[in-house]
Amino acid sequence: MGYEFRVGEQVHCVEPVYCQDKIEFKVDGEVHRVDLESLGSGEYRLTSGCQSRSILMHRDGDRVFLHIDGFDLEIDCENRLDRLRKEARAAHHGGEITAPMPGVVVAVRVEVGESVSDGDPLIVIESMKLQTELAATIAGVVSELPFVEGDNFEKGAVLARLEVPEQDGQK
Amino acid sequence: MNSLFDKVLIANRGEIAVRITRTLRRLGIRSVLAAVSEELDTPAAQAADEVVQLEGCDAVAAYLDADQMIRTAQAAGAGAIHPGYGFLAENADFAEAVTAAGLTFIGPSASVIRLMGDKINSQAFARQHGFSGATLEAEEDDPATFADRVRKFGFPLVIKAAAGGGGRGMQIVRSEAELTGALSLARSEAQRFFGDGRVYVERYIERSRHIEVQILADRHGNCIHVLERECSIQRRFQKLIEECPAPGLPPETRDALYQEAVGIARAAAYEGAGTIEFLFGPDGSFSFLEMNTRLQVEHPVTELVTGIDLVEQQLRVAAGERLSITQEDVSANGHAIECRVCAEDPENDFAPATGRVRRVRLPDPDYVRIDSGIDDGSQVTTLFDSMLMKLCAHGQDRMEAIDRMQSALINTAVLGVKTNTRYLAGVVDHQAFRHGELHTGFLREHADELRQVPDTDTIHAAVLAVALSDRSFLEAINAAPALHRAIGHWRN
Repeated sequence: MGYEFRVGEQVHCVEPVYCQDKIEFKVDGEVHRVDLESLGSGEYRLTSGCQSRSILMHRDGDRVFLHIDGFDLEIDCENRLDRLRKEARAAHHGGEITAPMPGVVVAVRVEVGESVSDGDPLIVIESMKLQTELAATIAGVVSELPFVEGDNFEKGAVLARLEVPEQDGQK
Repeated sequence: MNSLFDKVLIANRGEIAVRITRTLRRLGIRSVLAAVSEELDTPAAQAADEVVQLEGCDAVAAYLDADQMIRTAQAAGAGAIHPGYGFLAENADFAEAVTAAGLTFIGPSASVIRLMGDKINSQAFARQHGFSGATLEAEEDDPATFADRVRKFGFPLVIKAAAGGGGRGMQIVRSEAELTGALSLARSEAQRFFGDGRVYVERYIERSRHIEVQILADRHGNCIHVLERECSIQRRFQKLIEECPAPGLPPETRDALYQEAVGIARAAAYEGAGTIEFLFGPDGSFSFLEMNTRLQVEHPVTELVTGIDLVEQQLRVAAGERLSITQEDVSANGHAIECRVCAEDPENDFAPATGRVRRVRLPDPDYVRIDSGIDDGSQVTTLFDSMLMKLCAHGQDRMEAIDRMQSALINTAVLGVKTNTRYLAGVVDHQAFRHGELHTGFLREHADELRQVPDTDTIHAAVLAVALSDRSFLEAINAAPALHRAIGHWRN
C-alpha cells in the first residue's frame, strides 16, 4: 500500500512500514523514521533522528504549498491517495464539500458544531457570476468551515467538512 | 498646517507606494493613494490614509492617465503628487501638467526630465560639459551611413533606444551577420515600446560593471552626492541585486565618479533626488550612461548606509526648502545589499509567475529592511511588474550584509506563487559574488552553478511532512486494525 505525491514532474511514493511498536515510512523505497509536530498557524517541526527542520505549510484542497530548507515547493496529493481518502472517509462516515470551480463565498448558512441533515444548505458560492448553493451530502456535524463571506477560493478547495460523531463500538 | 504639504497623492502602487506612505506618515502628511479597482485591498491601500479609485477598464492605462491623476489629486485636496518610479515618474508632460494645475510635482523640472529622457541628447549634454560620455553613433545623424558608422566599433556592440533607458529595448550584437536584422528589430521595438523609433549604438564592453551615484539637489544651488550603488547583477539588463557602497573601488576612482555625477547634475540645474549611471570598464575607466530623474527602486541601500530618508529629501526639496544635509554629513556606515524578490520561475527560464499568494512569511525586520507590496491573499497577475518585494540587509561590512541577506532569503516564504528567493540566496552565497567579482554578465556566466534544486533529502522530508499533516492519510493508516497501539501518538 503506497500513497503518491507529485512534486513538479516527479511522483514520490510514501509507504508505511509497520514495526512492532512504531511506524516507519518508506519514501521511494528509502526508510525514514520521522516525527511531525504542529506548532500552529501552518508552522511544523519535522524531526528525523537528530535533525530537525522547521516547515511552513498551507493546504489548499489537494495541493500543499510548503517552505522547507529555503525552498518554496508545491506538492499535489495524487489520485491514488484521493481514492484512499474516499475510502477512509467512507469508513468514518465523513463528508467533505469541495469547490467545483474557483469563486467567492457569498454566504455561509451554518456554523462549526452545528448538526445538519443530508441535503441541508451549507454554503453559497459564486463563480463566473453564477450563484450555487452547496448542500450536505450526509447527516453530521459541521467540523470545519475554512472560508467566510467574501473569501476567494480555488478549484478543489475544501469549503466545508462534516463529521458523524463516532458511535460506540466503532473505535 | 504642515510646513511641507498637508496631503500628497501617490500615483503608484505596490511596494513603492507602501514605502512612500511610511515617510509621509512620519512627517505628519496625509497620504492619498490612487488605485485601480484590482488594487483597493493591497498593503499599499491599507497603508494609505485615503484611497481614491481610478476609473478605466485598463489598469495600466489608468496609472498612465495624467489628466485623471491630476483631477484625482485636486478632488482629494492633495497639494502634491509623488510619482514613485515607472508609470508617470519620468513623463515630462505630466510634470508640466501637474505644475500648470497648481500642484507640486515631487521630482525635477519638466525640462530636465525631457533632457535626460532622451538618451542621445543626455550623452551629448554630458560631453558638451566636458564629462565622460560614451562614444556613440546615432542613426538620426545620417541614416544612410549608420550601418557603416557602427561597424567601426567592432563587435560586440550594443543597440539602445533613444527614448529607452533602464535597460529596456537594448540588444547586444556579437557579429556582422546579426547587425542588419538586429537594427531593424531594435527600431521596431523602440517604436512599439516608447513610440519613438530612434536608436543609437555603442561599443559593448564585456565584464563591465554598472555603478551609479545618488544625487540630491535643491533649487538654491546646493547639490551633493549620497554615495554610489553597485548594480551589476542583472538579468536581461534588469537589475536584480544592488549594493551600497560598490565593493573594491579605489578611493580616487570613487571620488572621480562623485565629482562627475555632481558636475552633470549641477550643469543640468537638477532638483530633487536623481541618479547618474556609469558604465565601469574592467580597465578601471568609466563613462556616463544615463541619468534617472526619479527615485530608484534600489534607493533603500543608500538609506540604510547613510541614514538619509531620500523620500523625505524629495519632499523637502519640492516644497522649496534648502538641503539641510551638507556633503560632509554624508558618510558610509557599513554595507547594505538589496535583493528584488520577483514572481518568476527560475526553473522555467524565469517566466513570469502568477496566482494567489496563499501565505507570506517574512524574515525578522530587526535584521532586514522589508519593502513589500504583497500580503496573504494577494493576487499576482501579469498586469504589473513582477517585483513583489525588496529585502535589504545592512551589516558592519559586506560579509555581514551578505550573511544576513542569505539568511533572510532562506527564511522568506512566499507560498502560492513561484518566486526567485532561493535563486537569489544562491547568488549572494556564490564564491565569486562573495569575492566581489561582479560584472553585468555575472548571472549568465555562472548560470549553471546558480541553479537551485532541492536534493532528495529535502524532497523526502517535504513529502513526509505533507503526508503526516494530512488527516486522510493518518485516517487511512489508522484504519489498519492491528496497529491501534502503535500509532497512538499520531492521533491529535
